[in-house]
Amino acid sequence: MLTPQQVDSLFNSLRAMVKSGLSVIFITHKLREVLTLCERITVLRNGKSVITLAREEATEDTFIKAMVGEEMNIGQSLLFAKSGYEAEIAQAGSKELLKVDGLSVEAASEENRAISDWSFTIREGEILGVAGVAGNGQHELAESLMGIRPCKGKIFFDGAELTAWVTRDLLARGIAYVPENRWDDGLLSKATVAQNLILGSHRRLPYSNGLMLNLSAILKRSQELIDEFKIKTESPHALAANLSGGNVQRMMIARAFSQNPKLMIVHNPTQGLDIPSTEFVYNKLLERKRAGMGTLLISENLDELFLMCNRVAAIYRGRIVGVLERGQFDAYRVGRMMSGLEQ
Amino acid sequence: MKQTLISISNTLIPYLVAVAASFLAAGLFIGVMGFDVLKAYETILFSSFRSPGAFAQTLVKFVPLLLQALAFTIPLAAGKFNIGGEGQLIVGAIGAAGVGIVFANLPVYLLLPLVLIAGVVFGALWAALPAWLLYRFGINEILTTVLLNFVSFSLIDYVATEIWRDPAAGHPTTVPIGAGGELPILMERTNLHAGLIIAVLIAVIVYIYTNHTSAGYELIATGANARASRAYGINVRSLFLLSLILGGSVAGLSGAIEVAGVHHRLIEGLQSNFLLLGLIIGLIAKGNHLGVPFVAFFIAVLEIGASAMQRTMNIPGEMVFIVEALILLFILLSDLVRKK
Repeated sequence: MLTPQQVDSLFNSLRAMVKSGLSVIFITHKLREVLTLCERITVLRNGKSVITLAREEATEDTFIKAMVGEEMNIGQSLLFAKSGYEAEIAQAGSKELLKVDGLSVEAASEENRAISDWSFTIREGEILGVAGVAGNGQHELAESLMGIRPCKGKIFFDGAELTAWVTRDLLARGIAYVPENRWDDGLLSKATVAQNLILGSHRRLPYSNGLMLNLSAILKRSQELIDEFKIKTESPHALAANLSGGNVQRMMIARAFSQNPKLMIVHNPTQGLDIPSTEFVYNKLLERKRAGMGTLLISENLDELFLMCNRVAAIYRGRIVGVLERGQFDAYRVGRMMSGLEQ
Repeated sequence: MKQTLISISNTLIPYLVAVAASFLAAGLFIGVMGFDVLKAYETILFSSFRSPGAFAQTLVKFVPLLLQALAFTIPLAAGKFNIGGEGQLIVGAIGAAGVGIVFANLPVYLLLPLVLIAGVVFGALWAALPAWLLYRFGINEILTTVLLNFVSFSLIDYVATEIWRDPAAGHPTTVPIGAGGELPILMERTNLHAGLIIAVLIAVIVYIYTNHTSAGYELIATGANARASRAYGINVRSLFLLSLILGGSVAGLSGAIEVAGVHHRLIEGLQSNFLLLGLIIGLIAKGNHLGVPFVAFFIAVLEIGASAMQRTMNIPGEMVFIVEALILLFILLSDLVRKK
């Protein structure tokens, strides 16, 4: 990803290239960038060209409507009518749900950074964001909190210290996980969609009495989740390998939300999703907030973080550079923090 | 309802096509060699059903084939390849024969269970070695399970020629086990033994385990994607270990059943070609534990038909092995075609 500063400098280079007589085709799903940079805009949706207009010819709303189609009510949308939700999103409870004290984790690979001595808290009903360029500790943070990766430090969850770092126990205590790498960490491609949806809850009601699976309950619940989260699949028995990337993402989101967890760790949750689906995920996150549940939102998308989070921690080279409160959010400042320019 | 019918026919049609195509190919060879093709087909397919004796023979063959297939498919569900069913069968048979010989005077209600349990334990231990090497050092289980087969050949040779050798036999063979260690005969005037009931019971238990329990789900999830399974709380390394040991136990049991039900002693070569046929059965069934018993029975029918064909028509029985291999090839091909 690029920091906002880097985006600006890319745009400046592109403008310079255009001035010198080159033509540029700029393809992105980020509407704001198109509107800032481009002179003529074509909107594609479902493989069809919807409109082509010069930038001055139309308002922002025209392009939004062309992108999302008629199915979304833009006036009620979290994404496009932010101010209506501001008060609600800014709220958070006072009770600590998760307290991390002196977390240190070794790097997952050579390209990644180790985490050293992180301390932070997440309150009930709070969404804490983590902003950073990929490979600066995000993967290590998520996996250590889920008990997948060994770590040092203390973690208190829901009033009790977690001493055993066993993923199965963490899931049972009410922590859910949406991993970043959906193909490697999230999808059982050789299993069915239903088998994928119960992963992690396969020893608990309603899917199991602890010993035997309840196949009819699994089928019923999977069909409900497929409908609610709009996973495009022939049936719960279809092979998960046939799902498209966006539908794998929906499946993982459905799996995590269906556990109704007290704490959710989500890593780039809206990657590969179209605008209505992204909006759907944000609404689901807002529902969790209303119910007093906590969320750790790790994302490379600053717009997403600024839209949904109460606080955003900027990280650089395995360190937390600073934590900004809602109201102080400033893309350029976070950009400086996550590129190491501001300590 | 309509959906289920479609999915059933979608599963079965490739099998029917594969079987038909393999028979066609084999028929071509049989015809070129100058034999009566239709009579050969008839012999292969119906010999098993001509007399109660032939049917009993088929079922006796079915038992080790089914168990060898399961010894392969249980670890396969977790994504691990147990190619050591042969060695585990032999070592299980050694354990069973040893107990049957040493405690020959025990009554049947003690000796028979001991013989069978010895087979399970010895088979499990023989599989535990590669399983532990995989768990502890990450050593590829395909290599270690195959190599241990060769070790078991020397082991059975030693036991049958040195320890409990039957001096009267021309072939390396041990003295017989105690009468209390023999499996009861189910059908008079045949050699159909109660091992059939045990094998079917094991197949049912394995099916319930893999398809209807949470623990079995973890096995399947691990086979589908071990890394994701680990991220969602499944202890995949322990499951690798467990699945290989379970496979070894079933293979060891099949060795004990060969001793207690068929030979009543240890005979070098009692493993026959069960391993290879077990692998073929497991792969044709694509690891589906509902399908394994049916495929195993079908292969047993073909095997009995093959010997009948060799006996009555002088057509080499290996022709049937070609048919079996072709069925597997065509099944694998049909998967490729479907993916395209």
